[in-house]
Amino acid sequence: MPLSRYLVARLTEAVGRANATTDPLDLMAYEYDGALERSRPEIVLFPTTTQAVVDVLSLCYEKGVPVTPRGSGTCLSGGPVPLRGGVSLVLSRMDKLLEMDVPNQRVIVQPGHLNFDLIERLAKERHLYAPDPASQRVCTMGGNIAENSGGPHCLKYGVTTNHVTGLQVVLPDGGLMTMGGKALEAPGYDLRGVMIGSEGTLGVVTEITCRILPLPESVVTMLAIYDSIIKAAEAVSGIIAAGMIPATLEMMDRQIIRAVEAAVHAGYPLDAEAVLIIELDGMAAGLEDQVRQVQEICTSRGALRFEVAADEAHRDRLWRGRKGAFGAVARIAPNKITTDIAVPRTELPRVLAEVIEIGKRHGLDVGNVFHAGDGNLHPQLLFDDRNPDEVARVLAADKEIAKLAVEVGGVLTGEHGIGCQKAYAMPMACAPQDLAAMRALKDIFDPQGTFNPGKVLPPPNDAELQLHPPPCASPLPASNDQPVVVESYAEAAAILAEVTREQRRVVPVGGRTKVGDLGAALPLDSRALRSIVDYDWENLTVTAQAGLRVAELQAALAEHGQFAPLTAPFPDRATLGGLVAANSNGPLRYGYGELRDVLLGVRFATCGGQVVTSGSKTVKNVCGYDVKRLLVGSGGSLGMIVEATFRTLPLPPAESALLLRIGDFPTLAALSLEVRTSHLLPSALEAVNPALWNLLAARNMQPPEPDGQWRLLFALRGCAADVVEMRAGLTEAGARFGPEPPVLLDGSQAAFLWRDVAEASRLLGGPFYGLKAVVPPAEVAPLVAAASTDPSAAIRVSAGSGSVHIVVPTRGDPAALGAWVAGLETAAREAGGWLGPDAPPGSARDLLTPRRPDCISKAIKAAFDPAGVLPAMPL
Amino acid sequence: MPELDSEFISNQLARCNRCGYCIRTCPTYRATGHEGAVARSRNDLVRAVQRGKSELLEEMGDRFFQCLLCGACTESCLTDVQTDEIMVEAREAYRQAHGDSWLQQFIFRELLPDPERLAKYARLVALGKNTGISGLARSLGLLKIVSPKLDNAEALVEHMPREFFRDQLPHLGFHPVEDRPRGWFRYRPARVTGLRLLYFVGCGSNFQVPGEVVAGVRLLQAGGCDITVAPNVCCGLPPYSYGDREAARLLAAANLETLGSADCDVLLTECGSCSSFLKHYPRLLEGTEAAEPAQALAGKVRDITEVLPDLTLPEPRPLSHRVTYHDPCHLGRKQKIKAQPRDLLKRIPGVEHIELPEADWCCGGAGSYNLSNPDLSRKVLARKVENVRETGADTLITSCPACVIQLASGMREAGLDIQVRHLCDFLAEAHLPPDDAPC
Repeated sequence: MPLSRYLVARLTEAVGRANATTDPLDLMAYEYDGALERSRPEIVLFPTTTQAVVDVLSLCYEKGVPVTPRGSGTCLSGGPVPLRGGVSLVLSRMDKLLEMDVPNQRVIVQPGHLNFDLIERLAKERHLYAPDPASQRVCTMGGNIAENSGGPHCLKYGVTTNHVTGLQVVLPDGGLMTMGGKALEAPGYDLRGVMIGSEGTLGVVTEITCRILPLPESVVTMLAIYDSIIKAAEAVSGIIAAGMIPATLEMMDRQIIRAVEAAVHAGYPLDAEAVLIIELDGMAAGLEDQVRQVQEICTSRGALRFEVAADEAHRDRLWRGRKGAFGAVARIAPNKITTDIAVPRTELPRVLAEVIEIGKRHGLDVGNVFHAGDGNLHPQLLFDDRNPDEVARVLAADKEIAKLAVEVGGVLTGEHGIGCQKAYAMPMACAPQDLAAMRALKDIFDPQGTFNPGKVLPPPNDAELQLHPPPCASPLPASNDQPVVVESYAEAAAILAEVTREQRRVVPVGGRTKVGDLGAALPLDSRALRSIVDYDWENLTVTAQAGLRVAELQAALAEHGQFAPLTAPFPDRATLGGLVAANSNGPLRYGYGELRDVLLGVRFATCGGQVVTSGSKTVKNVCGYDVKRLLVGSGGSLGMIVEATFRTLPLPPAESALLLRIGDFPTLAALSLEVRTSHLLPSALEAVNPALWNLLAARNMQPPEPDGQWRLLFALRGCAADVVEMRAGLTEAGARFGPEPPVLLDGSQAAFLWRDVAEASRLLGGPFYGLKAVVPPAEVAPLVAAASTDPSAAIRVSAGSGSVHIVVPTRGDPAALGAWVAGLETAAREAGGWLGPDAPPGSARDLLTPRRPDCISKAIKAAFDPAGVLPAMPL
Repeated sequence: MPELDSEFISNQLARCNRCGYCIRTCPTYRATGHEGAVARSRNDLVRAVQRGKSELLEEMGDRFFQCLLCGACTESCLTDVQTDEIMVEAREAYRQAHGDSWLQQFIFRELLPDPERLAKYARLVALGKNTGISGLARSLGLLKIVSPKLDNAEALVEHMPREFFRDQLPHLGFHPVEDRPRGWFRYRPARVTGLRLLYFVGCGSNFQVPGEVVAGVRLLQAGGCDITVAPNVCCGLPPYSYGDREAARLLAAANLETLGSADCDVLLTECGSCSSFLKHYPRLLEGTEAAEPAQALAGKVRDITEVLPDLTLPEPRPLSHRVTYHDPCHLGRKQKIKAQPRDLLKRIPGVEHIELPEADWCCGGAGSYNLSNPDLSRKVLARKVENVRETGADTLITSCPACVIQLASGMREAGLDIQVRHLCDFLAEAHLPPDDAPC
């Protein structure tokens, strides 16, 4: 149905006359992106303000007009193509950098801001925004949110979702919502995590708050040439096994090498089967030694040639072949489809061989350029779009490649998105119940189905429509005294379906380190689910059942010289499922990321009686909505987590800890700021207040001598030279802020201290309240001042991350305690963060002002737990 | 569409995969955020016509003529698609389908091939402009490709020179060449220590910025060059850009005949656009009889910035300036001449050169683009002005008459006290004594 003149006038009025067009030639310009699909909008709108977006979406929702948002149109999956006409909502004119906040290491941009414009601007502040998709020079930040973009650097630095802390979103019905902010965590469900990677089908992002990092002090580029892909892949595995995570690991196969050699004469030998470009970055001190190691590994795996860039010109020369690759293939055929799949890295050689086979079967030239570190491949299918038969063969080959990815445990798309081009393949990659969970999300955000219609999810098939909850095998105990020990995933699902029918309250539990009073609910104990399902150490991933204790997991990983950057208090008791449900983060979050950054996949049992899987073994994955984000910090309110997949990392070759006594918190905060924005890369900066220090000292058998001083504790992990450099750098920085030199802690001292510092409640020994506040990292001081008004409060500040953990003994005057908590709440709010209960949550929650859930979160809770049998949504 | 039938166009269009990498450096896209103003969309439109999916509609003219032909998209294109060349052919097809205005025909076919007649008209325009007769002043557009949007023209040029470059040749020590027809002049130094060169006088140089050309010639004279000036006609770039390749070929043929007969080592000009297009003659005349002589001539073409670094010039005197340099598209991008102008500036003591961000982005002048697309031109210019402001320079230097005029109007409109000068003019101030008048 064409838009009425009335509606065109109203929409035009909403954005302003200069920002709306129905000119047929303008409409033609918005019927495509980089993919093959085409469809013309009926009107193109260029909003310049959030209010204009609100007005347009409200109007369209009211009238049932389809709206399709668009950035630069570079996603290669048809995402911004308006399949059902209606409005093409172009965000290119909302392109401002709204705020540059270096002390907090955040920037706020509008969605139309180009990724590379941000990177160029940040370079002036000696910072960087890590996600660097190949199209970064032209793609918008809003588009990066939509596709959860990665890039060559993502093996080391992660993808977009790991670098965005807050979003302002206009929902399809025109509602304006804030998800997160400058603080690293936000209370409630991680809706920003769901928005990121949703391919512009859940709402329009109008403001983006990103995390920025200091520029690495040094970057070294190396090139290795091999006569076999297998050898090159072995070299990659060797580098990672040696404890190094290169910033870049790019590989080209024979077809590409030949094309490149013909076009740009990069000087590759003709018998080359694989060219590997390796980039290490970080502190200059440690790079020299690492480069030597990389060289040893590469040559021992039979490199025909190995080069280290001596200077900038040499670096350009090493990159020349890779950068010229796409142009070079154009000499073979005018058009190409850049397909996009991600597979576990260990499967790369096999997948590459199979991709070439598929090409041969369809009579097509295929070349492979890929990110060898993260298993993301972009087979280039070459063709001439003037030849319809060839186009058909290309599409057929594209489908087979997608199928191949799924067969080897990979995903349909690593970074380009499903869009409309791969929606057909979703049932092949996801189980019916997984699709149903995604569809539930889509329906909550967009109940009319008019927002960017026809993308990501295909219409439900029979299998999805016929999902039924299974019957429960054995009757549930009548009393809540004894927990039901869950033995299988299916059993968990069946029990949840049963309690939903019976409307009986349950609570999933693990090690109970975070759960206080269970109330009148039947505990579902996960601790019998304790096996490691898949440990792919070469791929740096581990999948384990939810009841496995954190310490058990770490012990298993240590056998392969690895660890998972999960630092839970009480690791002997805390289970993996509980860790995820509680979003438990320890001091090492500063160096290794949040729990949500380490989590790649989740399996959970639902009240619908299904076991839903979300995520995979690949770092890059934009195959449907990121449902697993909701489980992080869900407190068991959406289902029972039965399995989780985490990233693992090589254990650092060297490890040490520094302890610095520093007079007062403002001085400590100033030192932290300097360290955070410097080239030094400690893995943790943990501040301890005098009260907590006294507890720690007492615990270590030293009678405490109250000195009223704060302590700052640094974890130094990395190669030996880096650790030495950090020690020197931090000592030098410390000297500028206080008279005392730092104390170097030996291994066991440090280990105890790191454990105890996170387990303050245990040291306290009596009843207590636990509180947690998360604020932007440079805004901690006022909150700490408010907390310090109670001298008995033990305060730990993750000074790098901006989270403050407070434990206070339960005693004294309840009114005074209430006033004190109210003061903390105000301070947290004013700092741009929030205050919430920390372990165990039961009692402290009563002291806090109740938070009202937003309508989306409420709907999600209702969709996943329709009878309200699971614990309440944590707020 | 006979004109869009060429294999070149078909292959070029086929290679555009709509990846969108042209977005970054396309000045019209960055000024508008409008997909219709970026290379991949322009190509998509031409492809629709070329593949018979759409008529060549009259409304498409604006799209084709909105391209600056700056060529920045090709630089960022993975498959090297030459959108500027595609646009020239599209404009040609468009003209054939929808016709030319009489004015265009008159300028390209009557005025440009006849330097004396062109000069007469230019004088008329100058008179109008300088006496404030606005009606006449508007006919400044006659020097340019005509558009209905001429209101901008007046603001663009502050005043027209009273004396054109060719008029000044006698004062510069040039003498008519005896055995040649009217219009040939020659300057012989006492001792030839530099080059024997033929000076190509561009239209913009002659009529709009003669002072700058004089400066360039004086530098060459100081460098001991033997200089001949011929009665050349327009290089042909304006009709070419307009999609009238036939008119461009006629002008090129005329120039080949005139210039080909001269005995010299180098064919030189200080206009980056002219030098670039003279180098383009072999491609323009591909497949015609003139291809071979065009090749020979193109081999001799140099921009003045390529020659000056090797001449022995008087030691520069110190100037106290903070300068920045704008790369004209036809010099920086099409001829890859970027280092020489900067090096020449850096030789002058006391001059601090600040690199201009996005120095090689089009200023929006683009020949007569500022007249035909005044709004878009202003937006493109605004980005340039902002970048110039950011450098904190007191002087903006470039090396193309059209850029000088466009940039000067930008500084004026923004109320910036930044002088815009042609490189030759600035170099002359440093290297030549103020009262140096060779005779």
